Amino acid sequence: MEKILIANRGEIALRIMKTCREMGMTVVAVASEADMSSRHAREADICYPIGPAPVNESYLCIEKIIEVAKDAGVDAVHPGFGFLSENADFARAVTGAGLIFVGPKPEVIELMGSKMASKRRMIEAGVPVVPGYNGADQDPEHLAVEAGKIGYPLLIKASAGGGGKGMRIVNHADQFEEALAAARREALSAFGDDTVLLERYLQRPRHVEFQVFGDKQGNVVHLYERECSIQRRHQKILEETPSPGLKPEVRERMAAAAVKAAASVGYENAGTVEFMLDEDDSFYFLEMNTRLQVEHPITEAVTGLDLVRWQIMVANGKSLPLHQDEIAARGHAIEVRVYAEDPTRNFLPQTGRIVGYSEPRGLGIRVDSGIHQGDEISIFYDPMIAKLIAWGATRDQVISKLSVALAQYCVHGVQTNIAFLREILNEPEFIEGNTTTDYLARQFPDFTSGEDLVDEALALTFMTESATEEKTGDRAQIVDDPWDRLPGWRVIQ
Amino acid sequence: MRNRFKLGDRIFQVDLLDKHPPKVHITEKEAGRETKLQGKLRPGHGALFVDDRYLPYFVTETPTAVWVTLDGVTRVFEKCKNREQAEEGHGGFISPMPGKVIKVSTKPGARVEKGAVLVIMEAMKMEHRIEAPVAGTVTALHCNEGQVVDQGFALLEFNPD
Repeated sequence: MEKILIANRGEIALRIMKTCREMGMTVVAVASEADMSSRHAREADICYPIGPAPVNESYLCIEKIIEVAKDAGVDAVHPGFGFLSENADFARAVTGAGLIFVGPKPEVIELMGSKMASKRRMIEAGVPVVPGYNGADQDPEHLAVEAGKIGYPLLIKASAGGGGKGMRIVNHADQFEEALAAARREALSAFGDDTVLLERYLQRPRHVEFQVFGDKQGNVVHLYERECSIQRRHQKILEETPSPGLKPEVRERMAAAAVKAAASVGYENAGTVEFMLDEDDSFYFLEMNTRLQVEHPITEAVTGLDLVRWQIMVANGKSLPLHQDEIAARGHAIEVRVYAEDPTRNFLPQTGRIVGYSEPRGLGIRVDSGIHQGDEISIFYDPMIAKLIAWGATRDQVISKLSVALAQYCVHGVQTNIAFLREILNEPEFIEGNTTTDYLARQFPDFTSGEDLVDEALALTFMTESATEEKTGDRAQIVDDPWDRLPGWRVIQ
Repeated sequence: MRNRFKLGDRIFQVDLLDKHPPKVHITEKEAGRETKLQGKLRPGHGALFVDDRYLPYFVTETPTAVWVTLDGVTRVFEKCKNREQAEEGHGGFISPMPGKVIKVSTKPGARVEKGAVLVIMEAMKMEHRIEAPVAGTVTALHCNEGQVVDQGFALLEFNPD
């Protein structure tokens, strides 16, 4: 493999590019009209324009991307994540053009893309799924029997439902009849259909996922877990490994289930098996993501491995470089996602030009970003502008490292969630590791930025290049006092 | 040297009293107070010494505002040329982002309570509600449903009670 096309943009395109360069490959990028001067377009060896800014006219255009791949004469296509990464038709089009698709087989992408089909397949493979009843027999007495089998608390959901209508949480068997009647009435009036399904209700689950990897030779390994319970509207904000809520014995069982899930479908390349972990340590298959994950850097941090390199090797037909017992995880890693959004105004996405930009540095600090000064954050793409990853010996160390790094991260021109991320890192429940999927709703129903240090910030408005230059004529006078340069110097009287 | 800034609904007048070390006088709502800076003070970025700790800061000036990040908190101080401009306050409701107006729930002359939804906009697949910050009257409307507007577009005029 000598030439590769990265069918993506932003930070992930740049991330993949780094590994491709290390492996001596020529990198071909694609860019929409809005992205022609963006970092991923400029840092690629060759960049092809693929159309107007809207994604369905550019990054989601299978034909255009295949055309570029052929024209550029690449050997392989890496889809990144998002966009076409979990599109079976795209994978087919790539292989159909005689190129290597860096990802699993199209059939597997398709299977895992269907909630119903993948759940059925997991049950066959003996992987635990959330217990429930989704049968045709809707007789109340029969439903009560099924409810008893599932156990309480349980959830009654309208089959045709959505938006919480026709949904009831039932805590005890003696409330079942009444709740069922209510759910049915609501479902009938809202959807004209009172068919319900029953499901075990997990009150405070953790979202724990396992990184898995498979090769064409049929080997499957796992690269430990990532906990991603800190979510806002199902959008992950902070991910960590190891999970603070996972007992070693449970980790082992979950890892085995994840490997079994992947092996049962002949999984190739990088994938992620997502589970819900209940308070009683039982866990259930949620879904499988058939691509590289946004939060893959924390796995790279603790294992010391390059997942993109593995992806490319495996796609090229090589077998996995390590056996399961050769893969170890050291220390702790946390990733936070920096979004161009205003947490004080209901997380409204922000657009604008980056007028000031400076990334933090430090031991064990990694910044995966796709922007630099002068870039325009537009309405067309995901508001995630960067990921900040910290690795260290212990969770406590990593939390303080990240907090320090976030304070040293300057993004001016658009508002970001950086202050909000720091609040999470300083919040006692988070520090305790009490992270469940309801964490943000529970601890941060509202976010208001503090009034701390407003006066100091106001005074700092004079610390601009122009103010210091024009007023003093000599910047040194105000900012660079020679007395400040004498280390440990004292006047002794 | 004097600057006037707006931060949300707060208005500040800041006078630089001393350059070395920087000392300012801040006037807010007729009341005044002073603040002195110390630390490793450089233009653009440095570290401020507060309560026995050095806090990193970043300052970027644009034609319309000064962005200040201090200890991880970023504030945008909007420049006001004069007192009048600073006190204009609630007058115009500007679009916070380029996007599409998907619903207009008010009309000129309407009396609205605090929190009433005036306009709903959509951008980046997200809905954003423009709400009345206080009780008042909508004096003019400049947008229609379905209209695509730029950031900073004045959607409507509002007179607080």
